[in-house]
Amino acid sequence: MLRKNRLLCVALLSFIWAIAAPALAGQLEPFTSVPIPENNPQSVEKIELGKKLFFDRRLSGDGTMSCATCHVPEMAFTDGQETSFSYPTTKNWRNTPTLMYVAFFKHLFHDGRVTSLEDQALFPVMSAFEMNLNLDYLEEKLRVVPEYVEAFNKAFHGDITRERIAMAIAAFERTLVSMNAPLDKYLKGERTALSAEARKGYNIFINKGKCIECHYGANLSDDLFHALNVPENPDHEKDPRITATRRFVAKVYHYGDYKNLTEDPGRYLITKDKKDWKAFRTPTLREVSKTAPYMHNGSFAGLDEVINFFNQGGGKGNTALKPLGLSEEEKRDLKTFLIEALSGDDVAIKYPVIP
Amino acid sequence: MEKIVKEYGNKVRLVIKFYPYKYRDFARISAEAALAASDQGKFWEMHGLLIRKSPQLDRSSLIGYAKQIGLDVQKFTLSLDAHKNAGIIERDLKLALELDLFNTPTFFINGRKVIGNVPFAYLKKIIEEELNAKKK
Amino acid sequence: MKKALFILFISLFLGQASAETKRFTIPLEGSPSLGPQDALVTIVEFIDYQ
Repeated sequence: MLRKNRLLCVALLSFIWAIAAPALAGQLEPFTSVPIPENNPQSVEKIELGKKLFFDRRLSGDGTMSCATCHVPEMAFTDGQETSFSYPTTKNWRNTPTLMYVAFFKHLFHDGRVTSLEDQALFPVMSAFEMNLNLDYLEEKLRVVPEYVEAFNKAFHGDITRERIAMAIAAFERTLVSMNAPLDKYLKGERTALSAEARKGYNIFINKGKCIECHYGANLSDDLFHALNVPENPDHEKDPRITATRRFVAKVYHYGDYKNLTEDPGRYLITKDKKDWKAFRTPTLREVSKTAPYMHNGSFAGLDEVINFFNQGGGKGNTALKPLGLSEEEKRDLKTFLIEALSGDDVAIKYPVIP
Repeated sequence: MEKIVKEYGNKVRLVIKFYPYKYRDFARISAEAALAASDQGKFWEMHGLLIRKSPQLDRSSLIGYAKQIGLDVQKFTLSLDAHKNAGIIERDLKLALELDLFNTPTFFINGRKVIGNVPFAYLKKIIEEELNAKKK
Repeated sequence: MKKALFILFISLFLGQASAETKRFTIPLEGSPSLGPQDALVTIVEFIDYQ
């Protein structure tokens, strides 16, 4: 008798859900598989090669930095700093985004200036304030290493080129997902995968908190750009090295008044579209408990600041957000959800032997 | 590092291990210089000098530094050329590889790994956490 | 030395209990050091001078 009632309930709820679903901007989806592009299928050789390159400090001008310098495996592939580590004597102006679930993004970087992992991979290598290595020179650096010649032959049946270097690194990055996140188990039907507080937080996430309007899908991001007007960090404005970086990037993107720029214009530099002024890519929330500090300039040290920021309706003058009116308990439950639900098993990396 | 010793004095113990990068020409010889100085009781003087003078760490410069800090230059040079302390460096290198270290500097603060040239404030925060935890 | 190991063990244990701070045990004999053997905090630095 009870079972029949329950079935009826489920049927009814599913019916209602099916009707209601299209009204939502998007839904949370459990992680099932990683999207792989046709033009760069995975192979064991490619992934191993990409891993070697990822940890190889040869890819920097002075040999002090590799991709892993800012994308530290133990820190969910971030570096725990407000702004990324940078090439000696310089300073970066933006926070290191995590590489967890990066395969799910179409837009890479905070300003989305490239649309594939392959296009992204060599950018930091040649960036003057990051790894600072000339790409022509990079090719020659690797060509004189017999182990790399052999590895590229095995993976690509050919010579070492910058395109292949990027493809190998991208192939490795596509393996960076964490399994068994409680959220995935919960979404697949395991109700006990989340604690009671986390379940309350989940409800806030998809309802009162409205987080799901931008943080949806398997990697909890709409892959779009929103100007939340996160406050500028006054230290960054005063720091001459960050000022140099800010002006340099603006100059490279042909922003006329780059010499007087005092804030980070975000995606505007790429599209020159007014609506993109100070707009940044919605980050993934996967492994969010491990990717502090937060926001494009790392100005929020912890999740409390982040939640308060959204609760108050975002930064001054923004039109994307409205105040939420969350109670202290609701904020706590939301935080519990973020910390508990989105951390999966650690990615097991077998560290490569660098030739 | 000097800042750390100045601030925390007896509460902190600093230990140096060597992880010379294969492709920096003077990484290894400067580690040998540091240990050669250590044999003559002046490790920290040489350590500080090497950091300040990097990348001028070629053999002649190193001998100059030995003179500068008042070492027995002949003994120092012999130690350098004979690779007297290669054993310690090899041992540290092996340990670094076993620990999967891919960057220098890497710190272990009461065993907690901190990777890279982190700002002093960042190190300080972790040291403070450890000091507070121990005081309990 | 035993005391240091004990403290390390305890802190390892505590480490597990708290927010999973991973701790590594580093052998320290034979390396140049500054400061008392029983200091509250031990900092090991893997360094490359160049």
